Amino acid sequence: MKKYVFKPFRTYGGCYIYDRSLNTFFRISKEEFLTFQSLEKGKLKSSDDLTISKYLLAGYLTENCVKCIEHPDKSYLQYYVDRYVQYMTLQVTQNCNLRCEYCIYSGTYENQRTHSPKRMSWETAKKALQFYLAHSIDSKKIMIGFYGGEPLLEFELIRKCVSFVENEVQGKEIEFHITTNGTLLTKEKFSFMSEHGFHILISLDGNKDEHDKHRRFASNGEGSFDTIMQNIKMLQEKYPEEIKKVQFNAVMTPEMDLACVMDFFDVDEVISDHYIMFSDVATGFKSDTDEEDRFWTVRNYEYLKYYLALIGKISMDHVSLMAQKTLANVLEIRSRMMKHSQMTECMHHNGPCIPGVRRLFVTVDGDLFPCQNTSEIQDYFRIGSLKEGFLLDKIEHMLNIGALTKDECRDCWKLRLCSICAQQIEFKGVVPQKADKQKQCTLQERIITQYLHIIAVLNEFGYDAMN
Amino acid sequence: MSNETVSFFPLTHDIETLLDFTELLTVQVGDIGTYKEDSKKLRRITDNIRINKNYAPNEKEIVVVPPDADIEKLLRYPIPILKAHEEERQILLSQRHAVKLGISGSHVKKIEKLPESFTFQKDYRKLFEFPVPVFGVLGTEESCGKFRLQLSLKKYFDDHSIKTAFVCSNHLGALSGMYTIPEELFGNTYTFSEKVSYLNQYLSNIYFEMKPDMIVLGVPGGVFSLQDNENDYYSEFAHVFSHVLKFDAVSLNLFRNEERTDEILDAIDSYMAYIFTTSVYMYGVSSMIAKRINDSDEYEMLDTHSYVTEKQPCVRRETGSWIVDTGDMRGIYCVLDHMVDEMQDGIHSL
Repeated sequence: MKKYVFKPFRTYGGCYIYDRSLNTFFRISKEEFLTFQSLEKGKLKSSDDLTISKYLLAGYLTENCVKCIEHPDKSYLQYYVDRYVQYMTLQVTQNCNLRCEYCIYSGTYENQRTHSPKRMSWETAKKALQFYLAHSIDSKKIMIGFYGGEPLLEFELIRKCVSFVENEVQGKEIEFHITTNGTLLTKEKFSFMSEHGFHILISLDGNKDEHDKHRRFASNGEGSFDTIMQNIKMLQEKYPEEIKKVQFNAVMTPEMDLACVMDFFDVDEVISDHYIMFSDVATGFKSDTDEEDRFWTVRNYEYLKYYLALIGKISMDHVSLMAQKTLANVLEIRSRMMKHSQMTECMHHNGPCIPGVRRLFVTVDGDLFPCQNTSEIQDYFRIGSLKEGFLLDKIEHMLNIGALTKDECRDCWKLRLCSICAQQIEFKGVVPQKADKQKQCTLQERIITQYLHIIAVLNEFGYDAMN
Repeated sequence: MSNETVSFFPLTHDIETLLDFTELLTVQVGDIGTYKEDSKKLRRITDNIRINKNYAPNEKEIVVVPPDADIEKLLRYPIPILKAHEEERQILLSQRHAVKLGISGSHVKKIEKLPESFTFQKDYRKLFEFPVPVFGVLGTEESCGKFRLQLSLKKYFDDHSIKTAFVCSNHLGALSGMYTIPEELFGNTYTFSEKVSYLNQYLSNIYFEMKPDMIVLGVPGGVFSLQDNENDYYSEFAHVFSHVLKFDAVSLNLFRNEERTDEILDAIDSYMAYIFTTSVYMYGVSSMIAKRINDSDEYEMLDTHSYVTEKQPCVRRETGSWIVDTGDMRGIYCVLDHMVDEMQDGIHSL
């Protein structure tokens, strides 16, 4: 086991040591940097060197105390699954009236199901709602999402679910969420959802050219942009106040003309006042484009503008929402690092939520999964069913995914910044193996090193969080 | 209040705790009304306690709205309380709840037990020194299970016929015959030093009224700050009480998921000795856990009672202090037996 766990890194402006024991980094001289590099490579003993003593005396580089890799929520798992389920999503249908090329159910992804006509029966939906209410006794809110395929294909089922929940809940706040392609929005459906406080998210990938590249009707292969915009305009006329709460989500693919999409969302008279989210296309989508360089040039330029805004060189008004949202976690990591929190004997990397507790995804057949992003085909991710209840040992395995690489994690400098959950691990067998997880470790190394560099450079240019 | 019948709305965590100690109640419990979604909440069924989904208070029952009732939920479903108010039934609730619900009148009262006559003498600043042992019940944070521990202590001292004046940090303690801390001290009416004088006078009033052999004092809020938000009052009460009187010993409740290595407990010992001029006699490991809310800096307090227990109900540290599972009466009784023995032998500073 390593006695001290740290990582030297340098930017153009300075040399640094990331100290895992306090989850922070500090600036050092070039000479000290070389010393730390030698220490890291084992060419020097820590006890022989005055450099490290200097920082030990100042309270940094506490000895590695990590003895076990275990998630802190493991001891209370039974309690959480019995009484603290937070958010349940119902897969009301596996069908969709669109055939978006990048959809994870399009058949082009490994280990994902495809579209099917399967739908959730009212009996299953009711059992799921009862299950959720029984397992969320200590949760502050009731949160229910409707998902598909395209959930508005099962509007009558959704209506029944809403009525059931509102009849069974008196005191707690209730939130309903729906992600829809927007093509089936009618006055009646929108009016109902508004009346019951739905959080509505419509998928819209930008202007007509961009959106219709991928998002087309199953029936005739035509683009869906015109239908969606027609619906939104109609709803804006009928429900001008209620429609303002609707949010949009744009999926970014490498062939997207990103500058054009951001411009559309900024200026379009129908959309520009709404909240827009940007998400990356699912890993595994094989893009057929030679425009990827252009996509990344625009994106990286937006990131640069964001960093310039943070150090006060330009106004944040000039920075796209895409950049602000995508990079928000850099500031969150910086904020965490400023706390200088200490380590404990049992640690686990970030990443895993409590499967089935933070989110519970119920399929049309009544099977339980941690979220809609996990594979419905791989049994590893099935954490139970409405009939048998939760399978605690499977939930525990997913929660404690760090155990796969426990020996490595104990000495890994990235432990406190890493964020790997079971859903990200691609594997072929029955359960993920160490080697499968370690592929994610390599990716994390790149991401975390990048974050450290960004934060260090921001500090060098006087970034002040309070400003 | 004694021998009257109360009904509760809604069922909350503190009511569940109270119902684990029905033998201490000075009132009869009628119905417990709660929201539909909470009907499975009561885990430990007590004889004669009924959960009523279609709750309507009986005309002879006093309606009690527990202080830990979520105000937003009450506002979403206030029907039982508003109905009782309309019919001018007696309602006991906190000032905060009364204001939010918009109810007032002679039938609307606070949940409290105060000495028979007490008036704060603002200009009188001399502090009374108590001639009996004073045991403090504190917690690292709010909602870390102090109420349960205080009820357990009352049960022990009642069972052993030790005449003890209890001042409870939770106003529901009034239903078990414990004095409570006047609600006005939880606001901004008084300065820090005025609160010190007030509480010293208040407690001396209780002492002279009751002439107990011992005082057990529950200190509201927490000693440390897990999260910086205004509800926590930044450990104000702990610091006020450290000036009000001299504690002979204190217990400090911890959340079950708090780190408690020897190093940490030694540091807490030093801090507590410095602030309260006495050591921690007992660390109470609560069934409460502080759960971080997603990736935010906020925490939610959850009761994992009966899901997780300590390996041993009580353990004595090398320093002499105890670590006790506050959910296990065997542990509490074991520690208190030692404490009472030490009091009688005069070994401990008590």
